[in-house]
Amino acid sequence: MQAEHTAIDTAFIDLSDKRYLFTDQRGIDTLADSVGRVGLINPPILQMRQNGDYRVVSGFRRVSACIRLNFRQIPARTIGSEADFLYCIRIAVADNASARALSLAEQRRLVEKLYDLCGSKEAVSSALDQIGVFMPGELVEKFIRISTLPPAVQEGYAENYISLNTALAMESMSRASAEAVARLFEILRPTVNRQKEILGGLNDLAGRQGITIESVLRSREFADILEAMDIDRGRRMHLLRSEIYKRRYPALSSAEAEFFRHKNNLGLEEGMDLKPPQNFEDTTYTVILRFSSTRQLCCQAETLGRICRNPDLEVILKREIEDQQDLY
Amino acid sequence: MKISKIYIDASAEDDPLARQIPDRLGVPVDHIGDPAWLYKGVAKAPDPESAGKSVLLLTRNKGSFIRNCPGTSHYTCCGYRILHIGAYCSMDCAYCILQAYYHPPVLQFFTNQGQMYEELDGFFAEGHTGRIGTGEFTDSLIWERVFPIARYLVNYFSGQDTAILELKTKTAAVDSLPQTGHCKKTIMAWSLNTESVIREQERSTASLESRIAAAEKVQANGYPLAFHFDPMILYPGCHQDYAGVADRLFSRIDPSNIVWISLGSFRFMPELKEVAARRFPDSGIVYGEFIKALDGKMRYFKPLRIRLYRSLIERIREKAPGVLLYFCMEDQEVWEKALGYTPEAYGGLSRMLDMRAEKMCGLKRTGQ
Ligand code: SF4
Repeated sequence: MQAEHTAIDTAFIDLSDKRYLFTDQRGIDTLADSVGRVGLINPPILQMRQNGDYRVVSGFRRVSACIRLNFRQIPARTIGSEADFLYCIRIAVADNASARALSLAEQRRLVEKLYDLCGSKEAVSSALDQIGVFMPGELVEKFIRISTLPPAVQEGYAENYISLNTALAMESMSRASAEAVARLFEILRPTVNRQKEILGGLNDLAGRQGITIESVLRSREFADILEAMDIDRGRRMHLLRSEIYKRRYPALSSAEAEFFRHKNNLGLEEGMDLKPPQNFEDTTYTVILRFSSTRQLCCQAETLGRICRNPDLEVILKREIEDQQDLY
Repeated sequence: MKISKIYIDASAEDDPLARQIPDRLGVPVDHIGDPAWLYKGVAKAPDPESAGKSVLLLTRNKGSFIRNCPGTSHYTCCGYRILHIGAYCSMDCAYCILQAYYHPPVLQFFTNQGQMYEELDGFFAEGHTGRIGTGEFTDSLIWERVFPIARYLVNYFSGQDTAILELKTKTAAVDSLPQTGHCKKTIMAWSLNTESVIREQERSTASLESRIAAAEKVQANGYPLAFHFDPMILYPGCHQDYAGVADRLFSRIDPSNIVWISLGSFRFMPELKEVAARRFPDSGIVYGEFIKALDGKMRYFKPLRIRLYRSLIERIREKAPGVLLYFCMEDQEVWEKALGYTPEAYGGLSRMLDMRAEKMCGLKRTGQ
């Protein structure tokens, strides 16, 4: 690297110029503490701009820490203004990668910056090769796709409350719908599996009603759940999933409710359970008996005898749930 | 959809059909060593399922021409046999399983028909009552412009009396069929659906009116008929609409010419959902109330299926009490609740249909 070691006045360093910033911006408290005690061991790299002041190529946190400590001047390595983007970003990558592996978010930001510059996946891949970063083409492509998503989704991905695959699954949505889902995920912070489930459910509901996901989420029930700040996040997540399920499977969920109503009338003892066939497709029901003594088993056997004569069991086994539906 | 190019697989080059078909169609021809090359190209197209309809691969059937219908466990299968003459279809239905069955699907027609006739001879010689159809991996009548295979098969089946051929279609392309001499050994069958399903889900198929008119035409020539309400699709107003289709059908078709009518609701392998949603964004059919059924396929929640069947059966029975109705891939509970009996009471579904074919098409049982 052709860099000069020199002392730079911090007043001439423009931290708002983030052209080469791709690293994670963690807090600087610990770093400032260390710099305060032992000084700046590894000087940042700066590039002189046409107007004579400097932008940071590598070492944003180090410069911030020095400014917080009111350093007037700091030691730095400087690069001339004629150095091009690729050269500088290579220096930035080398400076960071020598100390630690780049995080996924940093790799994504790097791809984004290169994509802005080069405009094609192939050019990004070759630029990555030049600056010495190995990244599979598939990942490069995914990062590029992420960079075309609405900012709310990109932010969700950057902030880790939207997974890579969930974000990509939002590609085919309208901007308004993607933003509405991103907001929902920001509020509820679902796990990756839940993200998939919720997205699938909302997508189906929208397809079913011939409307957008944004319109689905605008309906009163969903809006109420999202706005109920007095209810904790876990509970709101549960309410949301139940609401999606109820709307996605209206006949099935009403049959399930019916089943549980009749099951409650059976008077099952502790340790006994009655399970319906999955989705009521099969006709075989399962009775579960959990017992720890012959006495308990005898009681359950007696209860079973009573249940067999219970009209609610008849209703359950008749499965005439279809007549209660008025959906089509 | 129009065939824009024919590809001839090296294995088929010496078959006479590989020369006759290009002459008939008059489109550019390319000889390819390995069909994998064509599949790769089609798979790369932005809409591979459409791309596969615009080319025709002439190739040999490397397996058997006669296959058992792939019924699934837990649901009653009718013991049908498939005559595998080719694959895929020039029409384009949102629910078509062939879109997800082949990767990618490519229109193909088998040129080694000598082997097909040999297999048929062997099958006839066994003397079992057989029901064979060409409409499982393709539509039975789309090929007539390419090669009049339906006409040849009608004539071939007319010369024996142990098996019937069922030609199942959504077209009205009956002009190439022989008007006489079929000896009732071919059943002409139409898939029927409501106007709205045909309009919204079945691109490039014949209208309901044309299908019924075509059925009327072959009825006049003495062909036995069959109708398949399959796949029945749930949507607001569907019960009335399906009953309306039955009304229209029986206003033109004499029930005594109908060998059977089958009913089946829309069911699909989960893989179809993505393809149908992508290719038919306005269709909405994959968003119905489907559950994963016992065979791993997606089916409407059972009470909804039963209700749908009941309303149509009621209307059919009103208009045509003597017609044999059956379900395609449903379980005993559905039979019992919608039809009032299970096929076991009549020796099983396969036997029920065989007996009906024997009676209406004059089949002789010799080998059973
Ligand atoms: S007519 Fe049959 S084979 Fe053709 S696209 Fe429709 S469902 Fe598929």
